[in-house]
Amino acid sequence: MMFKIAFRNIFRQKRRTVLTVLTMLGGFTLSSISIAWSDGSYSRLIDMFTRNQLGHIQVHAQGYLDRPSLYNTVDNYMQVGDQIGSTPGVVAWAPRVLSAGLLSIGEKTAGVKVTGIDPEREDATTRFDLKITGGEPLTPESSKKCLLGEGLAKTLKADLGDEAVIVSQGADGSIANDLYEVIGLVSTGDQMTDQRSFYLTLTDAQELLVLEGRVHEIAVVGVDLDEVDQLAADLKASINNSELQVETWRQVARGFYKAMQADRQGTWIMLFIIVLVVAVGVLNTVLMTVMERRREYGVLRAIGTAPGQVFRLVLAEVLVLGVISCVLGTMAAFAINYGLSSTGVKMLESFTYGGVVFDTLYSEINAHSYYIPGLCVIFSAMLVSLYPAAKAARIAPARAMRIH
Amino acid sequence: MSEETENIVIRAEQVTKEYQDNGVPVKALRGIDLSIARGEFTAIVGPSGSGKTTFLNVISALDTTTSGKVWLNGRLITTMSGRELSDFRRDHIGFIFQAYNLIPVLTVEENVEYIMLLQGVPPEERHQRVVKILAEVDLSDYNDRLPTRLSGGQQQRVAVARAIVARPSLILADEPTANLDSKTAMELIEMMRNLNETSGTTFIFSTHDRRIMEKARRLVVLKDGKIDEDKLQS
Amino acid sequence: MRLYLKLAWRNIFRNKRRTFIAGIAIGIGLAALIYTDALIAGMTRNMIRSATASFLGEGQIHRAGFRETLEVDRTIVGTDAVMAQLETEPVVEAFTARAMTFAMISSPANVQAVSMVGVRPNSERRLSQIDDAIVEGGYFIDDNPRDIVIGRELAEILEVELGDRIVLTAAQAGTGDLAQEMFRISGVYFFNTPEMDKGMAFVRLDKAQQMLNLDGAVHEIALAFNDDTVPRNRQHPFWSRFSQNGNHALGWVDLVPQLESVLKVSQFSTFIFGIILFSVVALGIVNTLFMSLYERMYEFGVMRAVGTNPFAMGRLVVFEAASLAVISIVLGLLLGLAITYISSQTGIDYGGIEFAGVTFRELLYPELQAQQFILLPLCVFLLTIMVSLYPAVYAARLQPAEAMRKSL
Repeated sequence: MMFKIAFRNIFRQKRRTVLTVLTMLGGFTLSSISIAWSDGSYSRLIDMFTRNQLGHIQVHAQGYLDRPSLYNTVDNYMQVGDQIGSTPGVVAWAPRVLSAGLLSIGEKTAGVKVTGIDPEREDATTRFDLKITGGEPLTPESSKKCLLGEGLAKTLKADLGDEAVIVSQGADGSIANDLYEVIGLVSTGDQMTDQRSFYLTLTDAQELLVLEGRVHEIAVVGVDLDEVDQLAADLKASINNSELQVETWRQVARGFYKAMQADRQGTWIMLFIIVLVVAVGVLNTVLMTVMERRREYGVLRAIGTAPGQVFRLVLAEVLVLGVISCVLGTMAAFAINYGLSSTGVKMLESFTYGGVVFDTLYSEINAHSYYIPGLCVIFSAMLVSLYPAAKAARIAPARAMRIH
Repeated sequence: MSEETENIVIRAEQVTKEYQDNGVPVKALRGIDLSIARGEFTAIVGPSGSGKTTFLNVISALDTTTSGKVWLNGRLITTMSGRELSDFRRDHIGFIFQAYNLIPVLTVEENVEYIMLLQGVPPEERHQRVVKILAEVDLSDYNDRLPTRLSGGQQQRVAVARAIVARPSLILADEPTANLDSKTAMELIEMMRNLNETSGTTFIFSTHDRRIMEKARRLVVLKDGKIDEDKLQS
Repeated sequence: MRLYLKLAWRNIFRNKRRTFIAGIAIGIGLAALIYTDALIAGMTRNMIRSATASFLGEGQIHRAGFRETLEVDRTIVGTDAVMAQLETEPVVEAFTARAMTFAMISSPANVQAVSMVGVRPNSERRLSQIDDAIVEGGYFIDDNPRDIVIGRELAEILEVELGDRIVLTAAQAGTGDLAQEMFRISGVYFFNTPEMDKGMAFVRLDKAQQMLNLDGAVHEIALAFNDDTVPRNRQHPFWSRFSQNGNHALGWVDLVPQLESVLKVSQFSTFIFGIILFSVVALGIVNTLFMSLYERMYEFGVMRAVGTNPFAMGRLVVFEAASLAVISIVLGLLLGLAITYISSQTGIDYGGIEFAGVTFRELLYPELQAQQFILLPLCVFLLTIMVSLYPAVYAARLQPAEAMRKSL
């Protein structure tokens, strides 16, 4: 009964109802879009750089992530690789040898990051084959061939077929020195990486750096990015080696992750403000409505309605308005989010945050960009209405009736 | 003694009431002793400021006394808690106010059945009783109307219907005819008297209209917060 | 007119609670905007400082094309002449010369690719903050030509400590031959910025020039100005003056271009946020005004009956809205300034996070600026007035009898 009365009460003052609904709707929609926008941009980004470079999980020797060292390797990598491959949920894994060196082509020299890859595995894990922009890729049979990052090739004025000389340090302490033919160019989309990347086959790199059977890193890609923690735990169990560390992308891309968390915090604060403003608006409306209907509440109390019922009556009205606003808001936000998730908004100028390039921002459709604002708006509206509802319940019948 | 108490619906003993009106203390009731028996059709009258409304509020548990005791149906209401009073009013007292009786968003039928709903009367029975009472107040065709679509007199009749259908011991009406034209007013008071005679429900009402007063079987005259006259008439 | 202003002002105090609550709503919105604005201002300042003061400088001079390829051969044309000219420049506060190239740095434990930078300690001190970031040893205090100063992270990777020896290998200018020299670690710094802590190694300029066969040439001259506007003004004569003879002078806006654009984007999104926030607030204002109208329907009816014309009625509503706005602005300013002030004293820690090529090193302090006191409240005021036109028109259109009937 109270609910019936509450529901019909909404239609009494149409303009007020509309304005109040609009207020809550505005707050809801704005919050929803912010969350979806932030989530969408990040998740696309994370998906991109984990799938394309980092992998979902990486395996290193203990301490390598904090202090990368030529000597801190994953020994017997094939064995580890097999253990990884046999863990359910793993889609692919790729071993890598990493080092630094000076690369010279002709008279030009540049500092480079040396990466030894297993071409087939790397293709399966990070779609390396898609990044070749010129010449040919490395194959398992390639010997003494190399790939250059596009930026690097430009700096060194290198062409396909040129001879590249690398100077680095071997694991046995000797100077590592060898000659390779440039057969292809690589573009990862990240200019900074491409300026310094030099790729060899795993075997060539191991030979150059005197690392028999050893690698520095194994990148692993699983079925679902969201299951990455579970997969990491599973891998830790199957590898079962205390000298190795299994880390998710969050730990590997620590800088980015920290930046993302900081940004998320900012979003929460903004949300809080929005909800606060909406709540105050609702408070005003409900309070004034209660004041206006003093006499009515007085009659209700006189004829035997319990205070608790009057209390619930006021809250019910707010609840109905809140639900209507959220439903309408969901429709509006959904439409906007859908548009923004397919086309995205291209930044006037791409910028980097946490070391990652943000170029086009996308929104996404996900559940919690709807239920979080929904809960917040409804909950805060109800919370704020407790005061007017209590006032209404406490209206003493006699006093309210005094009509002069 | 017990038979008497069973017959006495209201007993007021040395009731006083003082309140603050914009900072000015007002002694509305100055010691009232009154008993009203079952089945009475009694008018409380007096000039403005005599304390009529205050008295009705006090004896119907809408307001508290400053001192003195009030028994309703043998129960001492001056010591009951807010929740108890609320339930008591729901079950034992029917109210008809001067105006704004009805819930604006409920239809006539819904308004009339409201108290029964609070009392927990099952739907079938509620419906039957509503139909019956609407017939008695001559509003059978109006059950789906909203209060905004009723005349003043019709609204008051709905108020009466609602008050009576919940089977209270007592019905209190504070100036029920004040907003009505004289013809409608008379019709209303006639109807109330009829209901009183057919159902035996006690009716207490206040008024300052002479012609309405004449319809009461007992007249209690208040002056300056005290009972001035208490006479029976026909 | 003055009567109506007085009337309007008093009217809003009739229902103090409602006025106060509405005022709070608007005030919070204003406070939020003030704070955000201050935050962006502080961030801007912080980022610019982080970018320029740590090492970059507010401007740099290079040989044209050097920045793209970083070739060791591309040295500045007429180094001595340029530096002599810089001495006479009034806007230049300090400058220093550097030689830089890729090098391999190796220790018994590890090898890394770094940027080797040859510096003049005395003039470098005035421009970059590396000397302030030294955590072990010192910044070229002795005269030892084989001193090298590296970041703490690099030291950890190489597993070396103060006093240990490391080897730098780099390609020489002219011949392209590899030169290898041994250095001794004389200082370790911590910048809380990966690029600096891991990717750079500092030696004395003359040693670098000797090792790289540079014959007194340098690759870069970094500058600090005593006038903030110069680096931001591409048209300033300074830039053209020093972009001659094959050299190229650039301010930080070009050296770190993403910075400026990103800051613009931040401002823009704050602007959007503000608009939407205030739309929500505006709804609240309209609601409040209407409710206060309904309460006084009878009164309004009487005013009209007595001869007040529609325009005056509408204007009364607008005046009331204006009064409400004034109160809200005061509340908002107090709240906003309080929060901003407190925050500016404690600072916000974004340490280590990189944004637009700049890593936050110091705490972020929101900045109070004059425009927050003036521009933002003005916007709030105008918004409130604009939004009050809806109920104002409604009030103006009321017919006396209708109004008196409509009253409760």
